[in-house]
Formats: sequence, structure tokens, C-alpha cells
Amino acid sequence: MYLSFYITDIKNKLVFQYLLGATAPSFKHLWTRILSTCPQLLEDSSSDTYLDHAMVGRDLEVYKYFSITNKLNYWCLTSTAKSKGPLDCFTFLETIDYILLEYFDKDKLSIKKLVNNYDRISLIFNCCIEAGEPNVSDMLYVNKIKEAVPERSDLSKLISSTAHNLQQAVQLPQQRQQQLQQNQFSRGSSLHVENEEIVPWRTSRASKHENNELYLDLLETFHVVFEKKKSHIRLVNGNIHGTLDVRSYLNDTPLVLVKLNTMGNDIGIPSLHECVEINDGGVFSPSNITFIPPDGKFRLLEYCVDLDSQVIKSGVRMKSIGLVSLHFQNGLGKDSDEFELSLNIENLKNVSQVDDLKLDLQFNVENSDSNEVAYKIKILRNTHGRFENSIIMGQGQWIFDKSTATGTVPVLHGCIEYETGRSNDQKNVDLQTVSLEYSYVGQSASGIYVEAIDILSGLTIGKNTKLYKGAKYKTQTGDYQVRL
Amino acid sequence: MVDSINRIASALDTAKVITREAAAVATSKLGESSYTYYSQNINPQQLATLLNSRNSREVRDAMKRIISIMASDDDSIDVQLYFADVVKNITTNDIKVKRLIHLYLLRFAENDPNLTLLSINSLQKSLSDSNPELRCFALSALSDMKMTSLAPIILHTVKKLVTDPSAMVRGEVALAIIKLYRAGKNEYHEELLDILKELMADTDPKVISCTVLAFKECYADHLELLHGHFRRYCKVIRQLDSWSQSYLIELLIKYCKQFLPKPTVVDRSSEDSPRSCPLPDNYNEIEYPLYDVVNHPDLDLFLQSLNRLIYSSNPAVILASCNALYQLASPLQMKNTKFIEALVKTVSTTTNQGNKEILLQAVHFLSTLDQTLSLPYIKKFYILPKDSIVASVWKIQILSTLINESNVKEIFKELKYYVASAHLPEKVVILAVKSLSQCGQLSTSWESHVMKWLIDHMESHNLSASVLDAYVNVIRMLVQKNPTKHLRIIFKLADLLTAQRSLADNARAGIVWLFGEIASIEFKICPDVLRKLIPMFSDEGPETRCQILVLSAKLLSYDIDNFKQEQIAASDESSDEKNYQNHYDFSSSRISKMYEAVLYLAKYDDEFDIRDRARMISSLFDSGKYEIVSLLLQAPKPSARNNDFIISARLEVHAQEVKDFFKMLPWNTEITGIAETDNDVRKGVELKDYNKYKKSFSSQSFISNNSARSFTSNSNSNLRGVNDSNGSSVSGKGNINTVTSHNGKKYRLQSLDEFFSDIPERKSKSKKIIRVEEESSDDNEDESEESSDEDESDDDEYSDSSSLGTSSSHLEL
Repeated sequence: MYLSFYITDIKNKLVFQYLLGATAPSFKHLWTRILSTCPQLLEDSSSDTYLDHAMVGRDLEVYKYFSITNKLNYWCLTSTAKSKGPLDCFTFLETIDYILLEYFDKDKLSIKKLVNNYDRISLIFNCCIEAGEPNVSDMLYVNKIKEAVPERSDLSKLISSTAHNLQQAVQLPQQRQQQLQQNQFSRGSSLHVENEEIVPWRTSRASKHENNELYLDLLETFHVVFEKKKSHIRLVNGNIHGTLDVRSYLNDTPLVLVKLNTMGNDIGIPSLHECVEINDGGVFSPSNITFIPPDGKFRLLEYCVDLDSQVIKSGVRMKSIGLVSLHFQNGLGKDSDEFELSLNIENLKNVSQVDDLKLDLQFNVENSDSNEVAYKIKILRNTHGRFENSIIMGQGQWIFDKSTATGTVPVLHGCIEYETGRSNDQKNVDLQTVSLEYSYVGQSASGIYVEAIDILSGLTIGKNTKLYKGAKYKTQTGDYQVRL
Repeated sequence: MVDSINRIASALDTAKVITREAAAVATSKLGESSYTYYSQNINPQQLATLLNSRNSREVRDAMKRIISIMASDDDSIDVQLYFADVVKNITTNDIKVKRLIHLYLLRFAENDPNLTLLSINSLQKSLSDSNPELRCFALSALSDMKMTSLAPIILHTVKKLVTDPSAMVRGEVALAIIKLYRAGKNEYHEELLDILKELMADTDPKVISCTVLAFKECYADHLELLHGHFRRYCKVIRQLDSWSQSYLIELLIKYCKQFLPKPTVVDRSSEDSPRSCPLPDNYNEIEYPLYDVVNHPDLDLFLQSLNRLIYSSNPAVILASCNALYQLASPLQMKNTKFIEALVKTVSTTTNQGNKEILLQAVHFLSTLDQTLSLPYIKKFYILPKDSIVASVWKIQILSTLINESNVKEIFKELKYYVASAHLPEKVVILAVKSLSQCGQLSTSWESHVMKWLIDHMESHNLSASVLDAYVNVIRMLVQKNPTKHLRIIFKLADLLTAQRSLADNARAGIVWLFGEIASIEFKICPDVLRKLIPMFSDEGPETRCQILVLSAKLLSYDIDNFKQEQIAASDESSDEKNYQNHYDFSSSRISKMYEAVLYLAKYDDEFDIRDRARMISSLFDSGKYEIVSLLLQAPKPSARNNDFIISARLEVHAQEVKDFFKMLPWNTEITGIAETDNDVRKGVELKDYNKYKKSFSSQSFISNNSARSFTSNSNSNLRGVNDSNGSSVSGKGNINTVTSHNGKKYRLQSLDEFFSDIPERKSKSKKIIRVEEESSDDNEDESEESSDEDESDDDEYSDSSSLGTSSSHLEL
């Protein structure tokens, strides 16, 4: 049973609290309790004594979830119960974080947003938690919450929509008339379905949109580790984590079909939004995803392409992924203490630039005391960006500008300068790993793309309302490491 | 004309741009932030005035302020002072203010029960509102007040609302049961159970979701209540809320263990003699290489119903399903379902660190029982550069459980990389070293390979003390297992002791200890090692000094024993010279001299522990009871297991909740026999369907109902679809009373008899006809209740015709 919820910023300063009773402690009280019983909860997640849940009293547990997108900590205090599954609390906190994002239709929640909407967020929490448990009567769907806690109608929205209407009324008076009639007609007939729930995640009272819009966002994050063996590069392990987010602003109750072309990738067992229909055999096919979308933003599916098994199956040696491939040469120059890194940024029709390209260079630091600087890295030539030596021994970063055009071949040429007076056999410093970071828009890493978005039925399109639909692709690196 | 219109249009266009700009300016002034600013400036006196205002907008502002104060943990204003002012506003028509007051009461009702009573009347009035949302709100608000004096009222309300036509309200009733139950009055438990029973028979998935929660929270021990619903719940599980799905799976696991017979495993490897045995109590203990499992059909039904949940986005559902397969099915069945793949996928995609840790522990748990489960996904457990420490640690642990002959080369390489990489956290490196020993345990050649690599690495790298300790521990462990085979490594260690002066104290101590143990097998080299150690005694660290002392004592003890054995051998040969030289000659033995030297040094050591030991050992030898000495010092040490050195319990031991979760429940041995057709306890019971209260069933919603959750087995024809999604899919064998009907009647509460008589309607054109049909169908219904076989077909007919009727009538509208 949940007793209270708290949201704090990264430094654990309280932003919001929701207490489910007079006995639930306020964050100040909880804080002193945590400090005395289990300060490990407050540690940084990179420390090895870090905890994300702990007992703070008899039968009382605190759970903590850090939302990466919002940079917020979510806490909850629960009573210990045998029937509680081990994942319940973390998952619930994650769900709430997600609901808040969807409710406000944002990509990131700012603290200011939370502070400005205390009343609304309190009400959302109230919707999500009933009897100290997750409210299972379909209230965890954002559409339902929006119905119970109406959004603020902005003045700007009001004015702009009035202006828009005004303009349309003038430009196309007759059509408008027709549409009005149509509207009246359709409203007349839809009276009967009011109050009646069609699907639990979509309310029949979904707000009326001016235009019908349906957008898909395919985001792929890949995690790969490559290994350089002699001259060729080999995949050690890797996977692509893809999410397909939908923003749907459609009137009525449409049935949507999305066809995903996987380009021969095996997307394994994706996790789907409840709205996705699964055929009789219980098998999901990405080329035929039918669903009645909830209104607003939601995550349609999340998949994982297993590159390891794919490499084994196809027998093709995977050399690189995404747009950027890395070439490396060690032991150059007359003292063979120079190295050269070159990137090859592929030229693609859909992608004009690569954003936030950054390389982390890691040198091995063996046989040297940490306080004795025996060598330093000197850059002789770089075509793009700048090189920064890190404070930590043996690390450096090659940082590019905000965007780099595709089709270029940036090169970094550097050497390792040893302290004078060192014998040759001590010169054994070389590059150990290179990590890459970048993102680009316009293409997915695996090549998966949306073939078609069709609205099968259920949408009445008047002459004056238009249907907009589209798909966007983005690829970013999660982990990209090359071991040398 | 056209021209002028165009002109006007363009003028309006610019006007639009201007208004947009104005709007932008206006929002900056009237936006959320400025409202917050205004709100924060409301002082306590104003707050009271605003709360008592007649203007609903002002009341709303005041309530928002109060909620903000509560949410921000602001001490400057004590919101409890306004209790009466807040509560009396419950009569407002503004639903938002009502909800805000609910929040206030939820928090403070207990503190001031008397004033809280002010709100009861108004809330009770809302209970009979025509709007289901208001009824729902009122019930939730009433039951949230944790006041014992209110319990009878709430109980009464709950009883009244359990037959509410709105599923939302009935769901809320289930949640109110939890609240009442927790209020702690035992006297209500029986009554609440009756209400719960009624709710369990509901057909609406939303109500079932809530009921499952209430059941799990309050009456989880009354598993027998699930008898009549078992089959139906298995079929509707996909329609439930994902949280309820995970709860229900856990409940049904318990149910199956309790009321279903144990599955039988039939051997398929040998064709001539079909053997069979019941499913073993522990997982993965089936001895046949190939087998079939014969389940009770109901168990099959449950396991099959899980298949549809594999795409769930809630990790709790995936984990619960894995648990169900672990508890109820054989390893082969588990592999066939692909749930492990889903589990592994969830591990690698989740960004929730807490979940990730627990999921990894679960994978580790399962792979310790059955390696083959996670073997295909082995590369998913290679550490990624951005993994947290906890995740890395569990990944390495999983890897070490998966090592076998075919993959050891690759895993060894990977582990070697972790050990050698400088940027990984120390704990991870230590664990990787530890896992290397797992590689070594495969075969003798791997043993020496691992040790050789470790020693090479130890020599060439500057390692921290704790990492070195792990190295030596692993080497010690591997050597101890099979010392004679690793003499070369032992020699190398001896070299290391003398050559590598910079080696950390604990590592040296470990190696010195090892020589003490090897002395029993390979005595020859040990005195030499000791000899080389003595000159540097004072330079060694405390642990090493202590171990040198122990080594010298051990060597002496061995030497004395050897001497004695020689004596006995000698005396056997020449019995006449019996008492020739019975005593070990301390003065002439070199080992004894070395021992004396070490003892002398140790007696003046800084460390009291070493001085203590020196005294103890010397007194033992002085007393001359060498048997005791050899017992003490030569006791064979058990070879260390991997679990013996745990670096951090938090990182390496399964969390208690994971252990609890995967605790194998015992099968109920009293239930036997697969076929029990005559006395079927799981026969479906009568259901309560409230769909008929709906005003109409439009063709539009019918399409979506059919398509949205196609959990039915056959939806070939659209017409059947209606029936499927509402009726036959819901109950397998039970009476199916689910037919959607169109009657414009206003809702009123009905008795059960009325309720059953009301359902089948063939036509719905006019009221009169309906009544006729009702009468005629009365008989039908009675008959169908007697024979359940006819029942299904009958119902199909009804629903076909009635849905035809509804759709046609809708068209007419």
C-alpha cells in the first residue's frame, strides 16, 4: 500500500509531494529519517553502495526512481506487503512519470511546469492512486485522466483558433456552412454513444480537433561494442532499441493501420500499447499494426533488434552501424608514437547532418603511478572540431561542432609525448577504446521505416478538415564503443 | 467582387498574424507562471475571504492555493485552520473544486472527524446523481475518509452501489472494499466478502480489474472463490488493466497449485517403454531427455492465456508470466513460450535502474536453475560502457552461470577484457576476476590457463590491493583443488614473492598461506620459500608477517611428523634399536632454526595479534604435544567455493523480494486424477451483466469493440464478433447471458429474476414487441439454464438476431 509520493530534483530538493493521509510523513520528516537509517539512498547512482530502495522503519519501504528524461527523482513510501511484486513500485513510479509527460504533452517536464500546476498534478495523482494502490479501473490511461482533470485552455490557443475560424469563415463561407450542418448532423447522431466507452484508453469525449493529425516518431538508440582485430572491425555485442511514439489528434474513433517495413530486421518480441490489436494466433506482425489510438501522445511500440543473432544468422561481418564508421591507425611516425583516427560519415539522401558528434578516447594507463604524469597527448592535426584533454589521466575528447555535414571525412592526427629520459620499452601507451556519440534525424539505424499510415475506418472527414499524417526518424547512440 | 473578398481575406490574414502576436504577449502575462505568482501572493486573511466567497472562481483560486501549499510542504500557512471553510464548499457545482476538496479531506479528515461530517450529507446526495462520474467521485471521497464511525454508512452505500449500471461505479465499489477492509473492523469482513463475490461475477473487464485487486489485497487466502471464474478469467485476462494482469497471474498460480493436479511427465526418449512421473518439485529435475507434459485442461488453459500477454509493456506482467511458467510448467514448455526472450528484451530496453536490477536478478536466478534458458541470449549480458555498477555486476554473475565448454573461450576473452580495462569500477573488475575462476573450473587445462593469465597480469600491472586480493583468492582456489597438477604455477608464485617486492600485503599473505597448504604435497620447495622470506620479515606488511609465522610453524610441524614416520619405519626395520633417537632434534634441524628465528622476530612485533600468535604457537611446541600441533596446523582446508568470498552482499546476493517472488510453491498432493468431468468445480457460475442498461449499442462502437481487443478465437464474421467479444469469450462453459439489447428504457434497479428475463430480444422496433419477446424468451431461458449444452448455441442465435436488430434500429435512427 502506497502511503505517499514525492518528486524531487537531482539534488533531492522537494518539488512536489502527495500524501495519502494524515499519518503520511512530509518530505522533511522522511528526509531526516532517510539520513538516519539509510543515507545510501541519497548517494549518486554511480557509487557502488547506492541503493534505490530501502527500509526506513518497521514495515515501511522507500523506493526511488530517477527519470532520465525529466531529471527528476520520484520517491514513494509504501508499507511492506507480501503480495507486492518486486517490480511494482519502480514500474509504478515510472508510469506516473510517463503519465505526467503525456498529460502535459511535453518532451521534458520542467520544475517550473510542476510548480505552476500543483493542483492539476495533485489531481492526477489522485486519479492514479485509489485505496493506496494503482487505480486499475482504467484510470491509468492519460485520456481518462484528461477527462477527469481537464487541461487548461490557453488564452493563446483560444485566440489563434478564433482567428483561424474567422479567416476560414470569410474565405469559404459556403463550405463552412455545409460543415456546420454536417457537424450538427453528426453531433445529433453521436449523442447515443456518449457516455459509452468504446475502448478504455480513448474517451468518446476526445476533444474536437481542428485538423486530423497523426504523426509517428521512430527513435532508435543503439548500443554496440566493436572490437578491432588487426585490420578489421568485428561486432562484440549490440542491439538496437527502438521506440515508435505516436501523436494522434483525430476526431471520432478511427481505426488506424500502420505498416512497418523492418528491412529484414528481426524485432523480436516488441512491447505494445494496449490499443494494438493482436490477431487470433496471438502473433504480432509489424507490417500490419492496427489500433484505435488514444488521443494525444503515446508509445505505440518498443522493440529491440538483436544484432548478435542477426550477425550469426546472416553471416555478414558487421563493421559499423549508423552513419559514422571509425578507422584507426596506431604506431605511425618515425618513433611510432603517433596515431590517426578518421571517421567516415556516410552520405545519405535523407540525412544532411550529424548532430553533437563527440569521441571519447581512452588510453591505457598501465605501469604508471597516477600521480606521475609520464606522457601527454598532443594533437598534430585535426580537420574538424577540437580536442580536449581530460583531467583524468589517459582520457581525451574530440568534440565536434553542433552539426557536421554528412559525406565528410574528419581526421584526427596526434602523438603521445613521453617525458624525456624514458627508455624505449617503457613507451607502451596506446589507445585502448574509442567511444562515439552522435545523433541524426531522417533515418533509423536499422533502416526500419513506416511504409504506410492508413485510416481504415471510423473517421469522418469533412470537406474542410484535412488529414495530416507523417513519420519522423531519429537515430542516436546509446553506447558505441570500439575496443582497439 | 472576388477581388474584394480576396482583399478582405488578406487583411484578415495580417489580422491573424497580429492577433497571434498579441496572443503570445497575452500568454506571457496570463500564463501559468503569472497565475502562480498571483496565487502565491494570497495571504492567509484573503484565503479565508476567498473560501467564503460566493464567486465560484474565487473559491477555486483559494482551493488551488491550499492544494499548492499542501503539495509544496510549505510551513508558512497552516491549511488545517481553514478546515470548516474548505469543507462547506463541497456543495459547489464545480467538479474541480469538489475534487480539490476531496484531496484536502483525504489528507486531513482523520484530524478533525467532527467537521468532516459536514461534508457527508452533500456527498451522499451525489451518490444518487445521474452522472456516474459524480457517483464514483462521491463513493471514493466517502470511503477515503478514514473514520471508523463512518464505516456502517459506507458499507450501506457499497451494498447499494454494487448493482450500479455504470461499470466505473462498480469498479469503485471494489476499491471501497479494500478501504473498508483495511479500516480494520473484522465484523464487516464477511459482508464485504459477499459483495466481492458478487463483483467477481461481473462481466465488465474494468470491474474485474478492480475486483482482482481487492481480492488480492483482502481475501487472497480464499482461493476457492475463484472456482467458478477460473476459466473465464483466463480468457479475459488480456482485457484487464496491466496491473491487474500481474496480480491475477500470481493469484492463479496459487490457485493452480492448490486445486489442480500435478502435471505428469511422459518420457518420449525411449519408444518401447513409456514411463511417466509427476512433475518434480524442483525446477529442471526431469531426468528424461525428451518428454511430453500432460496437464489438466484447465492448467493448459491458464498457460495458454499467458501467451497473449507476451507483448505487454508492463515488465511486471512479463515477470509474473515467467514465474507462472517456472512454477507450473516444465523447462521445455518454458522455452517454447519465448517469455525468456521477452524478459531479456525488457532487461536490455528498460531505463528504469531499479527494475533493471531486479530483472537481472531474476534472469540470474532462472539461469542458475537451467543454464539453457538464457544461453541463446548470452551476448545480452556483456557489459555495455554505460551500464551502472549494479547492472554490470549482475551481468557478470549471469555470464559466470552460463559458462560451458562451447562458449568458455568467448566468455573468457570478454571477462579478460573487463579485468584488464582500467576504466571499469573496481567492484566490477573484482567480480570479473572471480568469474574467471568459474572458467577455470571447467577443466584442468582451463585451470592452468586462467592462473597463468592472472599471474602474468599480476606481474605486469599495478593493481590495487582489493583487486590483487581477488586475484590471489582465485589462484589459491584453483591451485588448492588440484595442487599436484599446477606445480609450475606454484614455482612461479614463489618467484613472484621474491621478485615482485611491490606486491600488496594481502596478496603476499595469501601466497604465503598457500605455501603452508602445499607443504603437505610438495614439501621440498617450502623451506626455501621461507628462507627467502625471513631476511625481509620486518619489511613485510602485518598480514604477511602473520602468515610467515604460521608458515614456519606449519613447516616445523610437518617436519616433526616426517621425522616420526621415518622413526616408525626405521623401528619396523630394526626393532632392537627401539629407543634410539626418539626425539626430534631441534638444535640440528634447519627448519626448526628458521622457526626460532621467525618466532623471535614475531615476539617483538608491533602487532599484538602477531605477538599473541607467536606466544600460542611457541607454547604448543614447548609443551611437546606435537599431535595437537599437527591437528591444529595441518587440518585439511575445504577447497574454497566461489560463494565463499563475497565482496559486497548487496551487490551479489539476490534481493529478498526476488527470492520471495520465485519461492516454489508446493503442489497440493490431495488433488489427483486428471479427468473429473462429473463434478466440475470450475464450472462457470452465473454472471452479472449490466450491458443491457446501456442505451444503445451503436454500429460504430460495435466495430471498434470487435477490433480493438480481438482476444476472441474466431472473429470471422462481424456479426459473431459482437457475441464473441461480449459473451462466449467471457465464459467458457457457464451460462451466457450476455446480449446487447436496445431498449430505450430508463435505468432502474432490477431484481435478479427480472434481470435474467430481460435479456433475449429478437426485435427492438417497438416496446410492445419487446414485451412479447420477453415473455416468450422467459421459458427459453429457463430451459437453457437446465441444459448448458444447448445454452451456447441458443445464445448464439439470440445474440445474432439481437445484434442484427440493434444495428438495423440504429440505422433507422
